[in-house]
Amino acid sequence: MDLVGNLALGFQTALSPAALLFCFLGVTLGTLIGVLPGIGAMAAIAMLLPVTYHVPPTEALIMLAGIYYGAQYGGSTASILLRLPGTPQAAVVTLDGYPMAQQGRAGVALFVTTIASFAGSVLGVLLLAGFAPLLARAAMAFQAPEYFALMVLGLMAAALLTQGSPLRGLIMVVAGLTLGTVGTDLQTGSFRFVFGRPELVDGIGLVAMAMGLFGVSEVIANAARGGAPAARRPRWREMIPSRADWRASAPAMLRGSGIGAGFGALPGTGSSIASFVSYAVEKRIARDPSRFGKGAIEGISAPEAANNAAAQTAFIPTLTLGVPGDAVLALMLGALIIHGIIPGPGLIEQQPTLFWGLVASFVLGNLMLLILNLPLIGLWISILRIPYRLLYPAILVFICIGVFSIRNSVFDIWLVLVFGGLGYGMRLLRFEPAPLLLGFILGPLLEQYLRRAMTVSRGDPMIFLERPISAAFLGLAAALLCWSLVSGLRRTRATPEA
Amino acid sequence: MKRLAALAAAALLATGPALAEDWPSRTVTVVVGFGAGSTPDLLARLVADGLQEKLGQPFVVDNRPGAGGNIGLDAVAQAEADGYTLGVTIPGPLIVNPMRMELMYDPGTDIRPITMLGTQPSVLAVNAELGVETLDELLEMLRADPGAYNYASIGVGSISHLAMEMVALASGTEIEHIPYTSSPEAVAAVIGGEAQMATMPPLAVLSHAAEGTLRLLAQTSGERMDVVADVPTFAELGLADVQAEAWNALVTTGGTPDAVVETLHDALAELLADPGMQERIAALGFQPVQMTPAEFEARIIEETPRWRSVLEAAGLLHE
Repeated sequence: MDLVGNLALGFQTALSPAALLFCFLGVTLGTLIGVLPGIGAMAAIAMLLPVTYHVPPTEALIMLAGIYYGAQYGGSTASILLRLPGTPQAAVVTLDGYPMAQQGRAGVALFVTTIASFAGSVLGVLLLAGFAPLLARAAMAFQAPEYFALMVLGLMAAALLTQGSPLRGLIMVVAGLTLGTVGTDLQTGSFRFVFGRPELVDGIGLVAMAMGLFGVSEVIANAARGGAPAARRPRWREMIPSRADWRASAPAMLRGSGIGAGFGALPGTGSSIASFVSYAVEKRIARDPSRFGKGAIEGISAPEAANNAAAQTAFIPTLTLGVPGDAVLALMLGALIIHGIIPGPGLIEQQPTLFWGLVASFVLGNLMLLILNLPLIGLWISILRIPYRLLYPAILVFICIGVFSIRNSVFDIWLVLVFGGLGYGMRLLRFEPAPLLLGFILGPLLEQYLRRAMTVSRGDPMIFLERPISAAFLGLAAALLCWSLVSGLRRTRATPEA
Repeated sequence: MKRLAALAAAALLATGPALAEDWPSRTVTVVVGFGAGSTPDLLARLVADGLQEKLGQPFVVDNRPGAGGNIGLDAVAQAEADGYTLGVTIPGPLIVNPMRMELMYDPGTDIRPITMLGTQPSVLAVNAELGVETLDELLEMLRADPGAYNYASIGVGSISHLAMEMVALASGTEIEHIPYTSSPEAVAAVIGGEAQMATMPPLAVLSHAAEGTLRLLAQTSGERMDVVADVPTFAELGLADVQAEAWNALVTTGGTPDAVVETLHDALAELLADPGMQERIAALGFQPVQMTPAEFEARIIEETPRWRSVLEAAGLLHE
């Protein structure tokens, strides 16, 4: 069947009243959950899983998927307004989103991220519809050496996340890499820095770390100076981005979508790295990189588009290979298995209504999300009008609930507290949390792929250079490093003359 | 203050110690040591739903993922021995992990086995382009070139790892281990050629075998199971020592009164005999099983030495 025929079949499925209703339920729930930091799609989908026993598989998946990509839309809201990232992707958006909110541009920021989410999703869905089997085959060409090279390239991005001194940034990356070694050594099964705590056997919780470093440290800092900087009461007209905002955002969204779509199709890398990389790219190509971290609009539109594009293309390996991109998608595979559908290479041909119905529902769902999210901006902004002394207890409660809900563990709440204190200390010493977070995410992946590749090659490092894709990535990383060094040297040489 | 204390005391007296005969008179928690959507979780939810209907009290699934299921089983071990905390577990935290590492619980005294719920074989799958059609051909190839081939597993100490070590041990070959973090990842590695073979749960390999990218050579269960009825067992092929079933079982806290265990077992026996329930368990790739607590205990004792010897061979035994 051709694409038009397939899409016709898909829309026929997705436009049925039941499917529309489930799609709407899913995206609405996703929006609400996404806004609450830390309470991820995981908890919601897990709770709804038993309900899906009694719903036909296509409708069930349409709803669960709606929660998944719907949550991506709202994810940036709390990061922009309160510096509360529930996910690493959202942590990237805090870098410029929170400064924008402090400048009274929260409305613009939320408006732009909603549009960026929509743009990224649409591109992701187009790729999913047009090239799913092709992209799946390309993703299969990625093995340990390629992933390792990709992670090295990602680590280069860390250098660009830093706003202040590069040395401080480097220290943070190393600290992140070090924290990433906590847990079980995947290759031997032995424990590292676990200190007899079973809670640390799988490593430090990512969400607990992000919420502590960004969110709790912000609450402490605000409490220390007697309240958040007063936000002006924003007016509706001020929420509409200016023409200059659009000019800066539109190309950034396109670049972000492209990067995100690529990363999303690779199982295991996830959309978090896509956000970091797209932020780094924007900063690299910007005429004035010093604007970043102070409310540059490209700094929110690109990662937001990347994150949503990745959320859509992540369905490619999940549905065509049966390899889920992340834990939430693994849960959705579980929902399919309950209905006796085993995801795998034959799924698109064996279950055309399911696959194309799902794709069509993505289109409808994203339209619903756009219509749903734009009017909500006004509501979210009014949160800033609540006096901070009333707001921060609620923020702390939400942080605790969110972190606890991930694996029902009280230990993780203590962990948030520790990272909150650490984050506040880092803030006083002017160390930035973003490079630490990236190091923490990349470290374990870097190690895992390096050791896996070396096992496959029986200890021969040439494996990284013999394979063209891996060699190309490593070459690119080396070129980036040289470029940074040269431009850094030039700058230091230029400074004394000036 | 005094009045408050008196009220509290009265409230305590009114509830009194929960009587084993009245079990269950309130919500029962079913702890699962794995994340929502994992096979043990899906099975636990099915069983919890059924027990809730049968026994008239809410049965709530509580996911405590982490440390290969040890955190979940530890929560069951530390709970009050009143039957209001149950657990669904796999062999790992119950038999294998205690031999591998220092744990906070001793499954022998802190856990009371109730019944197996379902079991599944592991299936030895090879990349179809490897050019072997049978287990004998594979072993011949491995023996001719020891250490030249890789197998993928879903982690150190997992059944997919230990079952493959059993194959190496029983056939006198060497195969290089590459651990991954999940079965889809490990299967993708075999299809992509990073590894050449893996022992995996049936659901992870069936669709690829149907596509022709993987070939299924043998299953690790004692007898052929319905889900892969056309695949011979290792025993049939002459490797009787390769036996590793990835069963899921219901347990409770050690010292739970017999009356509670009896009530629970009777309800489960009825539930697991229901054809609708069996069908749902089978859909998850399991062969439905049920046994008495005594039978289950005997089975644990029977399996232990087998796991011990493979752990020792793999250098994973904790001193």
